[in-house]
Amino acid sequence: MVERIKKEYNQDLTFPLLEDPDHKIIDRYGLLNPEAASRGLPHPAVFVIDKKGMVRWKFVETDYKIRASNEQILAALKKQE
Amino acid sequence: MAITRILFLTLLLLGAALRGAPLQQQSPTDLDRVQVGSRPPDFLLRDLDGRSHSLKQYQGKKNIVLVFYRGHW
Repeated sequence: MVERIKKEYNQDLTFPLLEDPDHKIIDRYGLLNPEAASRGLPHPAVFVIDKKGMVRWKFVETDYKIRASNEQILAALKKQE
Repeated sequence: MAITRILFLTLLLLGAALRGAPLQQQSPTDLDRVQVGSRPPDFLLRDLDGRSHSLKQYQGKKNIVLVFYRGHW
């Protein structure tokens, strides 16, 4: 996936990709998709966390095809400035 | 607003497998567990270059967008 992004956008990622291979963090956040538990997949989710470490916005969706839009995320971030 | 002031942390699930069902005090599926206005669970995870990241290390420095990404379809 990283190589595909590099090729499509002609640049390296500007953010870290973290691995949660045993879905421990996914479970801790309560995001494990029970229909895909054997693969340890989470429901799609986004959290905006402010500089104090508090959640200021969240998006969680059980339909894996529905994702938070860039506009939604940026609007939530702008409120933190 | 500069994107450089925002840290995107993306959790990428690579090759996850459930090896039996360990005893858990909390259900792994509780979509209301992390609420707006609360402090989310911290973690210590490695990126693809082997560097460790936690929420605490960015506290006081950057806003964070934490994305749980399960791949595309």
